[in-house]
Amino acid sequence: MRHRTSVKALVVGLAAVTAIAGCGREESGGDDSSAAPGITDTTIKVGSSFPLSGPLAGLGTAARGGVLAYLGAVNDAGGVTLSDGVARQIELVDYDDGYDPARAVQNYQRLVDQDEVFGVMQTFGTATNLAIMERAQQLEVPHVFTHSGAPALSGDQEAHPWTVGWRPTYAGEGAAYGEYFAAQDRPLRVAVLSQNDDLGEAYLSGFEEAIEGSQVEIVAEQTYEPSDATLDSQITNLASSDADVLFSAVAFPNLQTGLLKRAREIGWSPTIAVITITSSIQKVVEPAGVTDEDDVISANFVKAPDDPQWAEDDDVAEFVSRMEQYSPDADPQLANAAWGYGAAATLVAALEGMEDLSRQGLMDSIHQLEGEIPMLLPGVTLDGTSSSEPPIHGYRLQEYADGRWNLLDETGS
Amino acid sequence: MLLFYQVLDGLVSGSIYAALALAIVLAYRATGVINFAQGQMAVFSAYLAWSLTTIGLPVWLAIAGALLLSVVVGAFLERVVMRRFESAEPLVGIVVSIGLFISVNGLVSLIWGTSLTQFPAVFPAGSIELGDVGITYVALGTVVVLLLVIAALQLLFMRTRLGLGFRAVAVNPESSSLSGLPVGLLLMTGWGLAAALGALAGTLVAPALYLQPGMMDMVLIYALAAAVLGGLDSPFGAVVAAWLIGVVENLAGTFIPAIGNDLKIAVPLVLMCLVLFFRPQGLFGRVEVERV
Repeated sequence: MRHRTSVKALVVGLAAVTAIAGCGREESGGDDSSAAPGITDTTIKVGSSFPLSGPLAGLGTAARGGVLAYLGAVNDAGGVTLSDGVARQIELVDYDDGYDPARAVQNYQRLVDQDEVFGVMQTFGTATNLAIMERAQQLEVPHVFTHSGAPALSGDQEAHPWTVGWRPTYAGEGAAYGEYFAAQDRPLRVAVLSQNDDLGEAYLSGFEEAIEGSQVEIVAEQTYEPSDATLDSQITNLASSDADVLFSAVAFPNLQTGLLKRAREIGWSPTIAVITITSSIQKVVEPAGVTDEDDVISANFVKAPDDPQWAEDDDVAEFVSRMEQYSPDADPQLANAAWGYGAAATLVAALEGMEDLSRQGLMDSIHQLEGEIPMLLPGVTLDGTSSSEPPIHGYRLQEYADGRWNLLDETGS
Repeated sequence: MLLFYQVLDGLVSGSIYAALALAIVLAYRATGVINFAQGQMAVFSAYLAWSLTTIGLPVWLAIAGALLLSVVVGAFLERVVMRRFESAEPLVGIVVSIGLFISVNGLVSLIWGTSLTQFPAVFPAGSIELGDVGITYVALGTVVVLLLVIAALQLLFMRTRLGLGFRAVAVNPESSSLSGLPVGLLLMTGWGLAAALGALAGTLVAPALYLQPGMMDMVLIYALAAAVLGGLDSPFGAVVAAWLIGVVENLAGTFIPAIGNDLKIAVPLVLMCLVLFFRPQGLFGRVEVERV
């Protein structure tokens, strides 16, 4: 036994020594002639951090896959041409954070110190990004296009000049539903179910602000914990209010599916607004058995690849084929993949727009971004000029019918 | 009406906890170990069943297949991992089972990935209408299966030689061995059967929870609470306690505003502490008598 332990210790020791040696070599290897860290004459190095293990690994892998699919296609087409006229390959260095904010911050620090990346993009999650945000202001290294719609990440960009979100915020999505119902100009009684944390609060506050002064009224509110096995108890309570509308800000596909089924079982058929995170046709709407008789709406800002509405769409076809080519291990049907892909496209546009090849130059370029990127719904725009909103603006409301989502005329905020 | 539905909802979520609690009770009675990996092993079995459905087996056959495979896997884990710590302190057994929990979780992620996977429905959709109240086939089917399992376990432990052997080995492995019982074989069988029961739990809840490596994590906590509350050696007690937890949780969350949905998780746990304070053997457990 003792013998075996000492062999093990030896192996661990050797591994550690090898790792340290490896690091040393890497650090002395760079001979970049350029002023900005992470940019050489042929490459730009950007970093990221995703949950690649643990319960969210599937989503993290999809987000990473989306980024790699877009960057892979750009690199194979010759790379990104910067303002000095030189085309460079974009290299992504990323680590697993297991959705742990402490590890996410370590990863960020490691990307900056050891990998000497130019900037960090698409880091995944709300708690993780809020943790990184503070460090990013100290280190003054771009922390951009986060994989989270938390309003705090983009809300005060003057106080946090090195951080900016990407997708429109959760509060904005809540407001989109609120405005839609307020615009109907008739008395509506609403029941709300939301997650008992920042995410739920953002949805609720956006919704409440939008219905202020209208004939829409919240008559019942329930919350759930991510650990809940079912939401039957909550849905029973909400149904007893007999509201006309259920705003279901439920962030877990299995819980959302169970909720839609349960409402039908107990004979409650309000108009149901499901949030974009859990609006997947394949994972939620179809398994829940939603039919045209049900009145289900949802807001979105990207084209969902599993939505027959986009079966003929060029953007989506290109996205799917690139995902197959560059990220075969990621699930392209998850919305996270489309977000990662769109964020990478935004990064490439921001890099191209840099006048000065520096980290500050990247942030300046982001604040001048305007135009189009792939996978956005018609009417949703790229506009980085606001210092209190993320660069992707707007939601479109959709209604479920004929086995697909259908865009409604009204545009969200 | 609201009260009635909340009780019904509580029984349904209680049944989810009960299924796993039964597996924990069986493992405890057969081997004397509280197996923290039981939930994760159930996840593994549920994925096995899913894999069998993907090669075209009907869901019932796939579940039966997964149950059989789980017996083998459970027995294997007992023989290869747990056996080495058999004679060590009880605490060691717990730590090893937590280690198993983490390892099996990793193994599941490695083999099947971590994205949500839909498990085919075991019971038909829809519900039986009794007056204005609908009871779903899923709820009904789950309860019937649970009752059958309780009956089978009671028979096994009280009426068969195998059950007698389990009880003897769990209480005192050394004396059992001296009186000629095949201790090793009994321990393996006990773990194997518990794994099969876990597989049943996993496949019963999978249509509602979806397959995911962490799908049983929270269920495990409730199931442990139910097993302890009901008495670790009583299958019947575990199920009743699980239902009690589900119902009390819902009623407290709905009708006591100060508790609401934030604190409702704490209610059954407080209940558990109180019961254990006055009845350390649990509601239906037997007092352990030790000969001095």
